[in-house]
Amino acid sequence: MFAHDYMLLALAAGILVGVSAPLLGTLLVYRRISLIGDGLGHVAFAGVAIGGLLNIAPIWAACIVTVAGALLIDELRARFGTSGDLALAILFYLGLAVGVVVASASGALNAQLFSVLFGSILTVTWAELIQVAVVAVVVAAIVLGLRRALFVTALSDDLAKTAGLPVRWLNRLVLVLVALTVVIGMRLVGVLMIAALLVLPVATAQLVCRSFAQSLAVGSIAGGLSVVAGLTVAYYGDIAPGGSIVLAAIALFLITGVAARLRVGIARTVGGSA
Amino acid sequence: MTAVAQLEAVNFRYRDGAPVFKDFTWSLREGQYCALLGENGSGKSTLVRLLLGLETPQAGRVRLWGTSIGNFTSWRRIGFVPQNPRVVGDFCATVSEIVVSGLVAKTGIWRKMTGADKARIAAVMEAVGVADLSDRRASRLSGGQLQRVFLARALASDPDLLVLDEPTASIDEGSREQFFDVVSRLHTDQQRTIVLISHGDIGQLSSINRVVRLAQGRIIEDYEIGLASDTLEAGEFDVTVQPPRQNVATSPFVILREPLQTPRHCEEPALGRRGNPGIRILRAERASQNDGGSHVRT
Repeated sequence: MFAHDYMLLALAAGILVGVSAPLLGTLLVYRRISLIGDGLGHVAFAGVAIGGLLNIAPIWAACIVTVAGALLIDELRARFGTSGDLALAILFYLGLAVGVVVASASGALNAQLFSVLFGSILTVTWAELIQVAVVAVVVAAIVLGLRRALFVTALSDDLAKTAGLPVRWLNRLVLVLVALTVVIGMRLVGVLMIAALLVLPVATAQLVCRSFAQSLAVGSIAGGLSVVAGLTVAYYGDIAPGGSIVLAAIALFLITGVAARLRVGIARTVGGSA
Repeated sequence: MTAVAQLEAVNFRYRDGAPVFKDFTWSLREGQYCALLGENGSGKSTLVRLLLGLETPQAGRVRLWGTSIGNFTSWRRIGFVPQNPRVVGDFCATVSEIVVSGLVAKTGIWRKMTGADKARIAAVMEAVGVADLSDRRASRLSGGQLQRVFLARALASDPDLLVLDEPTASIDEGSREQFFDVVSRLHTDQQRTIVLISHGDIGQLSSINRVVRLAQGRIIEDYEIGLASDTLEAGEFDVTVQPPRQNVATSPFVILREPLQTPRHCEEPALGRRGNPGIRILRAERASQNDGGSHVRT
């Protein structure tokens, strides 16, 4: 499969997103807002549709609309706290509904939109790979550079505020990075599944890690492995790569879970017989 | 004595809620170990949130060490232990990562830990008894252990004011006593100013020297506590109060401890009965000071 340029581009783009997305996903999971990536995917869909209507490149339109959606989510969370869940749900459904209505009004409710929903990683171009690389590097640099401050905000907003950290700005920054990751990820696995790349590798890391630092590292490795495994299965099985990447991430989670339980069981048995 | 925290004529209400505080004034002085008591909804947590700048009053002023909370930047001086840390279930972090995170207030976002910082982290973990848990996953700890971890975290930046928001609300009796032993030592050995929120009995807390009881956003009791000498004479009791000597003159109540007999004219204790039957509260009708310590005539 490495003989094909399209597969190499797909692998490169997929690994970049697979490795960088769990860095953000770790923060979302710790803060118990892991479904925000899913919601922003809905908003990104509206952005693509609006871009089609206004004749703007879909990725830029999605970028603007999704970042605006992320900032709106931050505002709703800050104003209403946990009771903002309902407002967030309304925003997410609004995004999907606006996307469908605008796309149908502009006559764009077609197979091209299908690729936005479910991804088309095998058609990634060099230009798109560069966009993906820029976002992935920025995400990695910011999350790793600010990891100590971001860790405190993940512990508790109150603790972060009493440490003098600019909590609102850090929260906004994370949500904007999630929005950008969703937009670049929609080309790979689609807006309906991009949240899986944010969250599933982190779930796998939780099974075997003890520390935040380990969680970031193992989550990234699990994300990268999921993309490679998913693309490989898609290539040889001739199936949709978006779905196979997500299924590979779930399989990795299950295998790791079973292995972790076996390890604990063996340790207990050995410990008990000693 | 320096005012650590001051709330002056504060009005506060939560969004769409009834007023919590109306024209509320309160202050905390250096060296005090103050228990904030009251039922749920009495305003004690809100008082602490205002004091820490986590809520903004609609009117009035909040100051920390004389600086308006809006301009306050010396967050290193504050150590805060929240009631319910988010460290449950999937939260994957070691004990040492959580304790080290308390240094952010001192080092800022970018600066790395120095050798002195590392030594301090080791010292506070040892002091609160979590050094041997250093590499454990925090979400696997018991409630009592976790609260001691957060106490160590709060101490990491060597704060002058320690704020504990019902830290033992959901832990067992043994762990509670262990936790308060550590906190008491922080006050008696290191003279830290401490605010402790509790809606339970504080009878077992030996080193508390001020009690503030709130109900519906108003202070209904505010008194200071000292240790009594064993001098007692009929109808006129000399009571040595230590510490805080300076506060006796303004304190409406003094708590005496065993081995005193229950004196005449004694008001029945409002607290401490169950936790420590030896505690008695006297009403201080007059107060004077001399070089033998602060004396109260009862």
